[in-house]
Amino acid sequence: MSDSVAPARGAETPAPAHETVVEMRGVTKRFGSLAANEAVDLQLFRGEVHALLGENGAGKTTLMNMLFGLLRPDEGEIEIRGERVELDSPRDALAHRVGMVHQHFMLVPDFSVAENVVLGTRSSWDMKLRRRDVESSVAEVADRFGMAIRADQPVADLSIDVQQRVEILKLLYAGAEILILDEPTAVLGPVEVDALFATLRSLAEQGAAIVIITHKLREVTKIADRVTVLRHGKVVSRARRGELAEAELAEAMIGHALPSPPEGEARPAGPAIIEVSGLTVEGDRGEAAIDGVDLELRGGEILGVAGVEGNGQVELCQALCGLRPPRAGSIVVDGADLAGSGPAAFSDAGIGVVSDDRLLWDVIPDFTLADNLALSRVRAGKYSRGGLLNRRAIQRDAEQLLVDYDVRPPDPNALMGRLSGGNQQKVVIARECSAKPQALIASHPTRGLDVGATEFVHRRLVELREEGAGVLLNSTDLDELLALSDRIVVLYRGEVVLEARADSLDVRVVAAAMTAGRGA
Amino acid sequence: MNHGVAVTILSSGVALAVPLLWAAIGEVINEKAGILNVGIDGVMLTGAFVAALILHDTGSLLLAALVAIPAGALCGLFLSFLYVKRGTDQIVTGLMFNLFIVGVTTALYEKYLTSSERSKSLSEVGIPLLKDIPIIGPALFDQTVLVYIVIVAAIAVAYLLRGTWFGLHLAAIGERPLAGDTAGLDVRRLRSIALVIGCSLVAVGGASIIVTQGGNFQPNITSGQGFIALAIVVLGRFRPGWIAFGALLFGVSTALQYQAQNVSWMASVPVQVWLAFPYIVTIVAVVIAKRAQYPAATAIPYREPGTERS
Amino acid sequence: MNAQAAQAPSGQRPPGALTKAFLGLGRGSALRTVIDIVVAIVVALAILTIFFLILGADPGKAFKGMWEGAVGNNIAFGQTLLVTSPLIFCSLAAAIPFSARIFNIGGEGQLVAGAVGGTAVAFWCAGLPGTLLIILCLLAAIVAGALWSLIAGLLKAYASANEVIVTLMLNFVAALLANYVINGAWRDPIAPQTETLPSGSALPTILGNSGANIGVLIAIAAAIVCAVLLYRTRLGFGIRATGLSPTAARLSGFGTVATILAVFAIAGGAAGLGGGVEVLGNHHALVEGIASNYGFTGIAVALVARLNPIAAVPVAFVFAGITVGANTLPATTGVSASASLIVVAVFVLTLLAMHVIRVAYPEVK
Repeated sequence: MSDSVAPARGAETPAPAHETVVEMRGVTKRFGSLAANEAVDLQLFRGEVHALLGENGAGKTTLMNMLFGLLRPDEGEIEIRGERVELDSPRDALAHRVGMVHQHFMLVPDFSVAENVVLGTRSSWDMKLRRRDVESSVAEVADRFGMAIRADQPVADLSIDVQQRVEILKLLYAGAEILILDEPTAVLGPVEVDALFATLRSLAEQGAAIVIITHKLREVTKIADRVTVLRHGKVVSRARRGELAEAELAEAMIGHALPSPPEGEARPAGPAIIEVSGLTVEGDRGEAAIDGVDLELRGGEILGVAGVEGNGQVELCQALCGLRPPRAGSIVVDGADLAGSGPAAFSDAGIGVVSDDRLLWDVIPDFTLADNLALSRVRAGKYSRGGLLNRRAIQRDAEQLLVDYDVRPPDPNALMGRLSGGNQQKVVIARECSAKPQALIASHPTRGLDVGATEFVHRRLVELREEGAGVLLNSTDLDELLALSDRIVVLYRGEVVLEARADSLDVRVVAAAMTAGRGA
Repeated sequence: MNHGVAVTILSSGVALAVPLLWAAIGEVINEKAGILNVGIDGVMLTGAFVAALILHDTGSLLLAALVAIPAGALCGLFLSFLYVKRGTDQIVTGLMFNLFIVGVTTALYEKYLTSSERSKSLSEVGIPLLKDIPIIGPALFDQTVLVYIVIVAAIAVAYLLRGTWFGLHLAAIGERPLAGDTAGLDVRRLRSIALVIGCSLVAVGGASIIVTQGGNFQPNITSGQGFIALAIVVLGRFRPGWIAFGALLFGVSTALQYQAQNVSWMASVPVQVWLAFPYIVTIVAVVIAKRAQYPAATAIPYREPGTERS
Repeated sequence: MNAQAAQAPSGQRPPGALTKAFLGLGRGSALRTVIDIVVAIVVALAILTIFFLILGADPGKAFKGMWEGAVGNNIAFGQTLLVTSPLIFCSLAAAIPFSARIFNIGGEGQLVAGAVGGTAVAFWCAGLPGTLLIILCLLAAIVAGALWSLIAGLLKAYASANEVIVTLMLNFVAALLANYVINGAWRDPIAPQTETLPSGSALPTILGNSGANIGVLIAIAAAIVCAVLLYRTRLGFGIRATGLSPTAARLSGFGTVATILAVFAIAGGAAGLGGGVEVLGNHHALVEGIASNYGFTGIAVALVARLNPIAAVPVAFVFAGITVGANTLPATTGVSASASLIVVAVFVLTLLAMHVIRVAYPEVK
């Protein structure tokens, strides 16, 4: 690991075009009996943006984890700059100038930008840490690559897209030439995506080799010079820019044509189930994450909440299920103002929740499926008989629900933690929908799910609507929102800046509202 | 309360704060790296015991204090095997470690040390001029050498945490070990090193009890001071300056019990209240400090991503 | 990402066959767990043997003496039962809160508080008929223990105070409180204890002249009640849910404050009852040091029993046997009786290191 503080790359070095910088040959990785990658060949060139396309579970992240030293291949070899390498750790990978930006950022929130960027660059045994020197050297590199970041700012204060740029800067500072980005647009709005792609294109022009792991077709067509499609761990298709249409890529990715989103009939909305007025909710750092919001969730409609992540959606949803008492305003359900009551009151009022972080809020991995399905009902006393729990009823109800909602394995005594993400989400949906809620607050219900599971969730949400319930759908996936919602509100800096019927909306209008607050 | 008593209380308070301060600055290092070492009391007890043993055998106060360092380092190694290598729950492991040390030291004490009657302790060394300042003079500048050393040590630890790369790395792995790991830091090794250094300092704290208070070991001589040090660390928000102040606060509250009979209103209160005073102050302090946060990854064992559970 | 290997929950299974509790969950098969436990026993005994040798004692003589002292005759057996009782109560005081991942280390202090309460009522209501007096004293002990423990509970619920430190400090304060009472109006002229309690307050004895009393039966009953509570009631469900995932439990509507207060009250009540039993059945007075490490040994019992109250009973018996047996050591080999702490601690530490005992964790981000 180089001891020098200044990284080696510079914009002055001319970039040789299309020089092969990484070659992976016959790479295979198994976990038990499952082959996450099988005989994968991949070539990365300097100066190009390469997309690794596939569904969740196709093996894209596993493959790149091997290039980044987090995993070792069971078979096959990896060559970097013509030299065969065995990568044991991210440190090894970085020594070969390979860097990865993960989906969940690896930043220390309390540290400044500079502290985060230089974290791994010096040994612990180097004694003196001069903050000022470090900050100026980081600022210099940021300038050189055209990234507008202040080196002394605490990372926690930065918006998500800037944090992502800090992650990229980390790699550049350490001298990485091969940049891997794992689902980089998952948390970005349309304008931020364009900015990211501009940055990536500029880095590629300076000679970097960039890989984007993604399952979004639109991005592939927008930015990728070449694309490799993975399915079930194998390479099923390769193409250069423009060679394949979106539909063909989609078919390669999932093996059959993309299903169309469920049809919803236009229908008049029912009575208001949740009426929110003047809602102000505090965020984690005391700021007004939601500032004076009025909205209404009516029965028989899906209300989509759009916005770039970090504009108050999380806080809004938490307030609507009782997790975060608002500072001001009212949340009226069935004539009663529930603002300030805890989750129990909301649940008793018939408001169901699907949170955006299943493992944290929705399920208890160490409990059985039966206990997870019974979670809120037990609390409400529905299984209590004379002070004791009616375990037989819990088991029986669980068995039925697992079959009805096609959960695999349909074993009430299986531990929740052992299920796949898709099946876990099915259990959550089973629990919430079977309770016949008046309203469901759903945040990113399809995040991390594959096409089949996503379709399942969408169908259930539409079903709820047909039954007369109101569904509040919070998602940063505009396609999902526009396809499912009857009405859409856009949150910007904690305020509603746009509210309209979905069928009358243009994507560009919504995007403008999301990123600049311009709305009707 | 007259002037003389106040000075005596302050003076004894400073002396009594020394073991707490050693333990606290050692524990800061551990906790900054993300380890909540509830076994701190056991480490102190170990330091105290070996100091008493060496003192009994050699009569050298200096040696007694020094031997605590390797003793503490050994404790740190043992604890790092459990906390870091095996990733056991830190709270219960620490508690059982304490139980183990109590058993070992009590048994060894009854075998080897019951006959020893010592009354040897460090004498004060006054700093000329400074010690003549009214009130604080005798309290702060006419103390045993250990007081001066611990203050230097506290400053050194502060520098270690704030001004070195090692300190930066520790802070990272205590707050977000995954970030440190992907940046190339060896989380486990750093935590082990932190434990060894930290426990060495804690053990010196235990030795300082022996060396300044007569040289006699008693079973459970630490009487909870390790846990008070835990409270001091979080109260002081991990800053050695505030921690020193906290240690002084507890030292003074402990000193009260010795002076209670000299002050009329204090003597009328049952003596048990004064004996309980430091513990009650600790509880009050913990309540007040509720806003103080541990580093985000404290007490959670670190498992590298992608590894199978052993 | 596919589901990672789930962690073995502590004390998840409902009470049923004892074997199920011991062998039910571990690193896979039941056989593996048995092997692990045997390994831990061997390691603990080996360390103890080494310790004996270092101190120049004859291990054979030591172990034989311990065995005799623990179960060798009726009186020894009675002694063991006498120690089993507070260990069960203290383990309950740890197991219930630990199941909610609330670390109540104050079992010792809560036991002492209960002892003080029982003593006070015994002296104040001395004239009452026997059975009524006993019941009143034990009730007072339960209430005193619960109140003492609720100090920490309230501070945690409303001020987010770290319960590890608060309960530990309260242990010391409780000991001082007991010391104050002992040196008060009921002081015994020579011994560090109060005078003997009115005879009507003594617990009935069992097993002939063994010295044991019904206290251990009360303890077993308390363990059963706690087990039913933990695995078969809504409250217990909420306690376990909170321990495994405080966030998910909260979203499901299990009140954090209610859970915290409930576990502290139950834990304190159990430990307090243990204190009452000690005072009425064992010592017939409030003695100095009545809790003597039962608190921490009780925590060890709870851990080995994987937080299962029923399993705690036999584990407590075994640890009690070790403790009582170790009392013979000074006579047979000159080694301190505190050697029992060594073997207990090493046993638990080995089980922890082998991951046979696990405490659930939130996911590291």
